[in-house]
Amino acid sequence: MNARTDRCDHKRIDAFLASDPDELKDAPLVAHLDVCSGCRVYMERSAADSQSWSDAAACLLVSEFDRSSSVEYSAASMDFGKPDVPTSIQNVLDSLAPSDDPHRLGRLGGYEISGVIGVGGMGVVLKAVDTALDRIVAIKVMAPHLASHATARKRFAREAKAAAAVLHPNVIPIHSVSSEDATPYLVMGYIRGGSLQKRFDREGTLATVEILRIGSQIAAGLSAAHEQGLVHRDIKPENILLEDGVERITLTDFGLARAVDDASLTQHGTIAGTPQYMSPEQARGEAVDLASDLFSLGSVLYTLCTGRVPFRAESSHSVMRKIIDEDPTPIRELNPEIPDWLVGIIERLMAKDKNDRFPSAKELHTLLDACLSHVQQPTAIDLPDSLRSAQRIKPRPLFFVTIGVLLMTTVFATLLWLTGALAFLVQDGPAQQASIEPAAAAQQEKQVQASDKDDSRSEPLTWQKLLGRDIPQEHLDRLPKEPLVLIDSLNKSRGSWLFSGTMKTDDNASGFDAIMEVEGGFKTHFEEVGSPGPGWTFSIQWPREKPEYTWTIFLLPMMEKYKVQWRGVAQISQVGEETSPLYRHFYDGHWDLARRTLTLTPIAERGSEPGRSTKSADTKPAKKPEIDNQFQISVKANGELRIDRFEPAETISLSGKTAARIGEPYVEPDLNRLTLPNGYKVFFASRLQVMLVDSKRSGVAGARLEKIGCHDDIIYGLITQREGIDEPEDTLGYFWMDSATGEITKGMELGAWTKKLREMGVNDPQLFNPEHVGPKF
Amino acid sequence: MTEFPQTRSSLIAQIGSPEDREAWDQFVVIYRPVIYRMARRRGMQDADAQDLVQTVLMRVAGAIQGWEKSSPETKFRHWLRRVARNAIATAFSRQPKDAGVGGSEMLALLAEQPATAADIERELLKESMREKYLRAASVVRSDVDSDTWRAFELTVVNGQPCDEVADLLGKSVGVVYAARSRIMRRLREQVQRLQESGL
Repeated sequence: MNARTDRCDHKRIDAFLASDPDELKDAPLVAHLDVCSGCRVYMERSAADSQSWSDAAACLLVSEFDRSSSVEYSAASMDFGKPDVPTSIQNVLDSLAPSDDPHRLGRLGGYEISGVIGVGGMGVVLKAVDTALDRIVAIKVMAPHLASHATARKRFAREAKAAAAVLHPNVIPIHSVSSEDATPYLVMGYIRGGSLQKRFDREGTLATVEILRIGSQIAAGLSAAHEQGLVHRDIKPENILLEDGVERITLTDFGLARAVDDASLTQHGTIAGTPQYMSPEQARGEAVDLASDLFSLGSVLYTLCTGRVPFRAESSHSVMRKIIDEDPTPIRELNPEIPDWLVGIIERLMAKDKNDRFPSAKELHTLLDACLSHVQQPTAIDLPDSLRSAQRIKPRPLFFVTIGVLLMTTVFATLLWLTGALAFLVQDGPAQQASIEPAAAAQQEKQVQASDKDDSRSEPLTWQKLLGRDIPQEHLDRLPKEPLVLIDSLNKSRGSWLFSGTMKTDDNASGFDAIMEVEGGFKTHFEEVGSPGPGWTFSIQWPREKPEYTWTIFLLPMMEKYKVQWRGVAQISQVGEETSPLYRHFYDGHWDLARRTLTLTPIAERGSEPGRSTKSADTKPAKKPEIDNQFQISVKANGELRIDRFEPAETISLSGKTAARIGEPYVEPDLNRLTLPNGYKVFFASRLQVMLVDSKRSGVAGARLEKIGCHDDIIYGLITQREGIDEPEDTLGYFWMDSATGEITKGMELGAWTKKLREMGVNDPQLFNPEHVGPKF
Repeated sequence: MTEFPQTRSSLIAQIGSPEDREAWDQFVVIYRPVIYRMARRRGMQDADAQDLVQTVLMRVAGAIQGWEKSSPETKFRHWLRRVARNAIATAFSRQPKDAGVGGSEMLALLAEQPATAADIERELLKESMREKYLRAASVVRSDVDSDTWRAFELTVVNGQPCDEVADLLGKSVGVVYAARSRIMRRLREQVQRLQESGL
């Protein structure tokens, strides 16, 4: 092997290719190929044209589909592509001492090897029986090529010993370490179950409660390790085990994977493991500490929330570059279901500057645990206090955008207001410092500096200013103390949505379509209704094609004593004559958190004010408002906004609902972009939403646009509603529309099928958008 | 696999030349799994897919008589290919949507969407190409030692970097490059041989 030819001899290569691999070895030429990339290229071209190379790759890739097919017919039947024992496993198995028991694969130390659990970059994991204690264990055997590497061996032993010192239910127990034998190995507890990666591959994104449960346990395990001074360095879904039957998470592979990386790095200049969950400091090759694990944990949680890793690129190197330089796509752009406070936690974990992350895994664990309790019992247990405020301490402007998006769900914002989350405000300044941890304080200082720069011209915002009037000191005392910062993107909380309503007059009811415009925020132009404070307006004009009427609802949150009191004005006018409406009433509002409903009750005194005398008032004597005249604005769990029973006069009643989730960034509804063969139209209700509407324009199904594709009469994407609009179930997958009946009948999860779609030529099933529809079958 | 007794004994017996008989045999070898896979991909159960294979092959075999009479100037294998493609296209565009519809069957349903003749033709080309590569691979693979094959499989089929694979196999990078080029060369030769059959 060592003798090598230094000449580039193309004829020799041709002869080599034409010969039988078992006969002509030509070691000097092979050695020359080790170093000569020119000859490698020549040889590959000479062997086959590039089309053949790619055809071979495509044709020989045996899919799950093939494996599942009848043996005789399937591609896998040619005794090809069957998973055979990788060489590395075989090498390890070969090195085992023979066992007395014929059912065993061999012996290693005092262990009878009964099977192979898996193979990783570091070596092979075997399942074994500890004969002395009669228990099942997992043995990680260092790969032979690494075992010959002295540094890797030492490191393996050192890390394994350190890991053995950590005793915690969420950390895999290390029973013993052997680094003296030819092949070093590590004996660990055996966990029956799969890795988080497997579950993720199978199920895709997880529910918030699951994410919190997993995150909290990982944090607990990390905390135990960190207390021993042990940094994991390779937190990733493959290293997080989910035990079957019990809801327990176990962390494995403390520090070990990096031992391999170091060996690999020194030998080949490459990183063996996946860099996707690395921290920026790891990617830069700097020394790492416990904050690095927190970043990686953040990346894992990000992945669970969004269904994809935060940093994606072709090569390891590019991934690392992105980890250092770029911010990942905001979580809520990918999955609006994730609560903003969780987004805040993850973004803080993934702060580029390690000082901006949580100060310890322990603190994170406590926080996630509290969040979990809240999510499990939302009515009984509040979100942790620190989240209601700490969430606002945000290192990056990204967060403001996220909040902005949140606030676009106008009514949701009021919900937040009432729950005290006050997410629209960013606090800064020293008032809160005493109660926050050092890292956050440092961050706060930065924030102050940054905002000083940005807002040098404007005066600090106060509650008085925000609410537009003086507030008695005793009331102020009850309000959050921190200085307020207005978020500009809030003013983007305006949008248009398709609204379908019904108008019932005396004896007939008629449906109408309308575009509902929503405008709002805390900088408003509602002076005309007497309040400079924050507020929202919903205005609905119909009929859609040629608007005749405007129905407007102004909502004003006002501070009354210790709570927010809603005031509303609702009116109907002819288009262009909004200043002299046909009907106008003032209302007091009451939020029902559980039902997400704002009930507006007419204010009797105002109802008879001469100021509101209108055209209608002349013809129709002002009727004493009754309880019947209440109307409701509600935001359903699926984001639908519903207005029920607005009855400004005896003879008229209005109700309606948005056809799509409200609160997504607005795009011009376009009903003509895509018509399906059966006449159904695909309606892009907003940038992230697609609705399927039938000829009556009632929504049939909806899906997130980012995950949508269509092909003939199939649309696939995130199913947001399949039956009934009130209790939607978001299911990432397909829905199948029967072209005969128009029924959306079947769905399936996408996660597990992603691979199959790839085989069918759909390269990234999660990234379809309306301009690029349809898989290429 | 159900054999084709009638096919062999009666219909195929009508094929005069030994060369054409060989073409038929080759045709069956390649197209049988191709049709089967296309059927399965459309959500058909194993038994139904086998039936369909049988039906299509029978239809093609049944047309052989017509060939000898009507188009004596066309080469048998070319004629066979054309007839087979028509039969396959017909079979698949006629398939009713009655396959299983459980969640797990959705992909099949997806694929079962009205495919145009051009779609089927493309799929057929792709599948028969694939079959040729698979056949070729099984031949080449049995000829070389397992590490040589693995070097090819891991780097070309699985797309792993050569240096990683070299590491995994405990070989030098040069060995991996040499191995995969040699395999590719032989694979290409084998595939070419099958291509030349004109099927």
